Parts: sequence; C-alpha cells; structure tokens
Amino acid sequence: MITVDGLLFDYPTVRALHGVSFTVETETITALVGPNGAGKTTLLRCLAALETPLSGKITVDDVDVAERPRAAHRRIGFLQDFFGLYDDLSVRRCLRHHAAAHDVPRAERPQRIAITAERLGLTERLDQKTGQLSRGFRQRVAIGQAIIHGPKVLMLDEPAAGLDPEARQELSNLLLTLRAEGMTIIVSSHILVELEDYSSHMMILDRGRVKENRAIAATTIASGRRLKAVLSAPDARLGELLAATEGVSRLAIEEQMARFDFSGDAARQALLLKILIEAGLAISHFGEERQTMQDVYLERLHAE
Amino acid sequence: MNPEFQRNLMLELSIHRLIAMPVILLLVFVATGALAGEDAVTHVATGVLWLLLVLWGSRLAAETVLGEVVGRTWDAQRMSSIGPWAMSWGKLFGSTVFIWYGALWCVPGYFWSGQKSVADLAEIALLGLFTHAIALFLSLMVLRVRPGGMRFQVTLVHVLALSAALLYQAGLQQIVTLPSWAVVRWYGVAIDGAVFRLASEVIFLAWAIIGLYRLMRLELQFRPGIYTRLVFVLFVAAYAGGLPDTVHSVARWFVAFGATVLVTYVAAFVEPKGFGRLRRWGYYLKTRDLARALTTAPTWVVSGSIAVLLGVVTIALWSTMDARDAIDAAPGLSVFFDIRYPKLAPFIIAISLFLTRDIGIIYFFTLDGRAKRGHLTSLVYLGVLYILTPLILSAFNLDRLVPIAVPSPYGDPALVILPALIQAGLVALLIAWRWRRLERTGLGSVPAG
Repeated sequence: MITVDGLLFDYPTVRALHGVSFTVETETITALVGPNGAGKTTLLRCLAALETPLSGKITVDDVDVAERPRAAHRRIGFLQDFFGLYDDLSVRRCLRHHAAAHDVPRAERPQRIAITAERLGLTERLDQKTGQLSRGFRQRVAIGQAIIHGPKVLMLDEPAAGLDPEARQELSNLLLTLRAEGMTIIVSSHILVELEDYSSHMMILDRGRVKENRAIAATTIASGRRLKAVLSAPDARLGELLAATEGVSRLAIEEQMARFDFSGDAARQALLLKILIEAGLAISHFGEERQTMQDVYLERLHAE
Repeated sequence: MNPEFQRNLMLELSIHRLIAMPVILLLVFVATGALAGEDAVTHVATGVLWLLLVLWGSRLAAETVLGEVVGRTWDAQRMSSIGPWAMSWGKLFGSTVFIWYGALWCVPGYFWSGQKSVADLAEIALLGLFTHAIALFLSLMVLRVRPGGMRFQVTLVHVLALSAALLYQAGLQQIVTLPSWAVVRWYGVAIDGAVFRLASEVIFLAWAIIGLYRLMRLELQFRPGIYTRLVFVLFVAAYAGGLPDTVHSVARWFVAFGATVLVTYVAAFVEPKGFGRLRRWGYYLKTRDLARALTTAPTWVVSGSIAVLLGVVTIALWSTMDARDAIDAAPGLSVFFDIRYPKLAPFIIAISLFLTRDIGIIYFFTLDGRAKRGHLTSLVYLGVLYILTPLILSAFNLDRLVPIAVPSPYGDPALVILPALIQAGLVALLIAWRWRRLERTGLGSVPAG
C-alpha cells in the first residue's frame, strides 16, 4: 500500500531523514516508534504530502505522492500530534465541512456523519460547538475528520495523548475495526503498551534511519519461543538441566528464575516440564514469555 | 458550493452580526444626516467604506490563513480536495464576506447627497478587493518565509498590504493628475487618464489574484511553474517601459531595466530562502533535472536574468549616437542620458553588480534559516551602505568617491564599476564561507541521481 524509496529530508541545518526506504502492506497497523527527534513526524508529514523531501519517492496506493499530491490526499487521512478544530462550529458542521472538502457526494454526507459520530461516540454531541468539548472529545472529532472520507491509509501521530483509559480502549477497538474494513494504518506513539494492543507491524526509526520494520508476530518466531521457568527457591540444577536439554538456547538464570529460547513444539515443551518436575525441582511457574514490543524496541535500538 | 466559502459563511455570518451591522450603520447615517446634513452622510459613508473595505478587510484577509496556522487547522485544509482556485477565492471572499455585507449597507449613504458616481464606488470596491488580495498573497508569502512569531506576521502583512494599497493608489493618482499626463501616452498611444487608471487597477488586481493563486498552488503541494513569474516580470518591464514620454526606445528599455531591478530586490526579500532550498535547487541543477531546477529557481534569478538582458539591450542601443541625440525628450530621465554624461553603460553594469552584492548580503544573513533577524540585519547593512557611507564621503568632501557606495551615472567608469565588482566578489566569498560552515553542521552530501 505504501512504498518509500530513498527518502531524504533536510531542515535548514539538520538532515531529518537519511535515505529512508520501506514498504507497508495493505490492511496492517504499523506502530512507528523511535526516540524523540528520530524523524517520525517528518516522515508522516512527507507521507501525507505536506512536506517536500529533497529526494526519494513515495507511493500510496500506487499514487506518486510528489507527482499527484491531491490524489494522494484523497487516499490519506492524517491526524497530527497537535491538531486544531474550528471552535465556533458544531461537531456536525465540522464533519460536514471535512466531508465536503474531501469531495464526499452531497447525498452521502448525512449518513457518513452519522456513522462516523456513532463510531466515535459523538452522536450525542453533534450539535455542540467543538470549542466546548473536552480534550478527549476534541480528539475524537479530529479522528472523525480524518476518516470521514473513507481514506485507504490512516496516519495518526500520538492519537492517544490526552485520552482517558476508556477512550483509549475505544480508540484501540476503532483502529482494529478500520483495519478489518480494509484500511492501512500507521500510528506513531511513545506509549508502546497501547500500540501492542492493536499493531500488527512495528517500524523503528532512529536518527532518521529505519532500524527495524517487521511484523510483530514474526519478531517472536524469529527469536524462538521464549520460555520462563520459576522455582519456589533457587536450585542450581535448574540451569544444569536446561543447558543439557536439546532446543534450549540463550539461557539466562536469575536466582530461582530461568529464561530461555526453546525451539521445540508444545509436546516437547510438556516433556521438558515433566523432566524438571521429575528431577525434584519445585516449579511454581512454567510458560511462554512473550517478547513485548518494548523489549524488541529497546533491543533493536541498542543493537548498534 | 465551494466548501471553504461555505465554512467562512458559517463562521462570519451569524444572525447577531447580520442584524447588528445594518442597525449600527443606519444609526450612524441618521445621526450624521440630522446633525450635519446630506453631504456629511456621503462623507461618513465614504469613510466607513474605507474603514471596512481597506482597513478591516485587509486585516481579515491577512489573518485568514495565518489564523488557521495558529489554530492548527491549515494542514487539514492543505490535505483536503479543495483545489487552489477554489481555496483562493473561498478565502478571498469568504474571510471578508461580513465586510462586503457591511459595505453593501453603506451604498445608500454613499449616494445620499448625489455627489458620488458609480465609478467612484467601483474604485473603492476595486481598491478594497486589491488590498484583500494583496494581504492574502502576502500572508502566504510570509508563511513561506516565516519571519518571527505569528502575531508579528499578521501585523506585518496588514501593514504591508495597506502600504501597497496606498502606494498603488497614490502612484496611479500621480500618473493621471500630472499636467503632462492628463492624457497618458503609453508607448506613444494617447489614452484618457481615467481609462488608463481603471485599466491599470483591473490589471494589477488580476496580477494580485494570479499571484495569490500561484502561492496557493504551492501551499497545496502542487508543482510550481516558471511561466507565471516570467510573464509577470515581462509584464512589469513592458508596463513601465511604456510610461516614458519619449520617441526613442532606449529610455523605455532603461526604465524597463530599472523596473525589473526593483522586482528583483522585492523578490530577494520576500521569497523563502535558506540553505535547504538552495541545496535543493543546486541538487536539481547538478542532476540536470532542468524542469525542477527552473521551477524551484528563486524568483530573483528569473527577474535578475531579465534585468541583465534588458540592461545589455539598453547599453547596445545607447552605443548608437542616434539614441543619444533623441533621448532628452524623456522628462526626468535626461540626467541618465544627457549627452554630456555618456556613462550609461558603466552605470547599468554597476547597478547589476550592486544588485548581485545586495542579494548576496540578504542570503548571507538568512542562509541559516533565521528569517526575521536575517532580513532586519540585511536592511540595516544596506542602509549603512546606501545612506550612511555616501553621507560620510560627502561630509569629508570625497564626493567623487560616492560611486564606491552607490551606482552612479557620473565619474570615471573604472571607479563606477571596479568597487562594485570587488564588493560583489567579497560577498560571494562570504557566502561560500557560510555555505561550507552550514555543510559541516550535520548535513551529509546529497546523493547523485
């Protein structure tokens, strides 16, 4: 859906993007993560055809963003980190303006407004001025404006900032629904725990370069299933037994706990547990330790 | 309906405003009529029209885009499907719709005493529209240059738009009210002063709107074109070149040269500058992407090139004796063409070199992206070079050295040209030094291809 090739972007005295290249597959949710100043917002603005890079090529749904920016805009919805609303207009008028501004046929507009408001929990507030809304509801209106024309690609920069836990959960559900309906989504955020709820892919950007761009599930598989065994009290035999077991690698022992990669299937995992118990070890926990997005992020970020 | 115009209608025309404006105006006119008579009603209505259309309208036009940038709604507008033309007129007429509504209520008062004609009203309306278009144009220009904070930018745009409107009106007034210009001779063709003025107003309004449309295209990420700028510079040269009341073409070419030099100075100040933009332009030149190199070339390159061409033609024509004989007919220009001071060629060369130096000075102080401070610093240094230095030289009885500081049609050609050449060269060295420093601040080299 999105292809970026050799993207180079300069601010007056700083190069923000150093030949960035990547692809984003259709109907995925990509978590764009990286430290402050990594170039995330600049990258999103280039993808949204709001900035002109020095060189490189971006295509969105086969549309060259530099050659046909307006065609690209029809395919993209973008919610920026710091957004604004027309405070003196009602929610309904804001949504109507954005529908009209994105060429949504006049006859379809009332229905689109109703559906969008329903999805975002704004139905009760359609006739309220946006200037009177709380931060959370303003965020919802802004998201509504970004999706009312049914874009194929949705890009959100820190969308959960200012939302309460319930609204965050609703945002998460909304993104999963939009993805299921065929939308490709990129979300930039610092809150990795939330991204984990709905992201299918993760892209790490650091100092203007892509360090990692892969499916999150693939990250776990590539490094093997990570298992964790915990004893009720430290026992040196735990390390010895595991080290001697076939399929165990990257073994790490911390007091009564062992972490290790295990390449065997579920049956062999059960057999391993049986061996440990029969050896007389007091196992209080034995199971898969899923590598979190934060683990992967920190690992990749500090890899070089 | 144009969504941008419709949005402005929703924001600007509340029921309260729709009722309050005519009620207040009616009360003002009734009070004026009762206290000071019918003539006073027309005077007050004229004043209110000026206040509304020129003063308030230009403020609203200056704020419309810059206000959206402050309110962080502009990027969403840029990403909409609204085209540049629809966005331009939607903002031009939408942001000022309440002003036009008020102006409409002033019309009865304006004609109350029977002193004013429809042409008079059309002139105020045209001036108002011109000011709004210039204010919107300048706000888009300022948005690209970003000289300081947003409040400063709005005020700057407002002041500049009002200045442009007043200068424009005063200039046209001057042209058609000078005794010798009661009938304007444009390229020798006699045109009634009023007709010439109206035609000029309409044409300059059209150019203001074309300029606005072009900048809106750039804001909406459309590829820039070169033809608009090229045609505008040629138009300015042609318009100005027709004004000298002379039979010989060399005066026309010289005035056209002078007009393009002025355009070049304005362009050098108001266009976005900075290291990144120049690098991008250089990158396109280096990779022989001529289409992009031409479209991203700074406007001063376009107007400056035309100025140099016009200067060369003027010098070539001046080199013929026939031209010198006939030139005195151009009032006010004879000082440059007087047969006793045949120094036109060094003068034109010096102007071109000083122009190069001055553009270099502006870029030297703005290359690092500090637009506000850079422009002000450039202005200070240009003031020192063009005003203080000649004054000091004169104070020490060194008038013959004045050509060192200002282009002069008098004096030794070597003294007119050489100092200008040396100064242009020195500024070029300074630019090269700053360029290398900026390159070392963290930017890698641009990859070829």
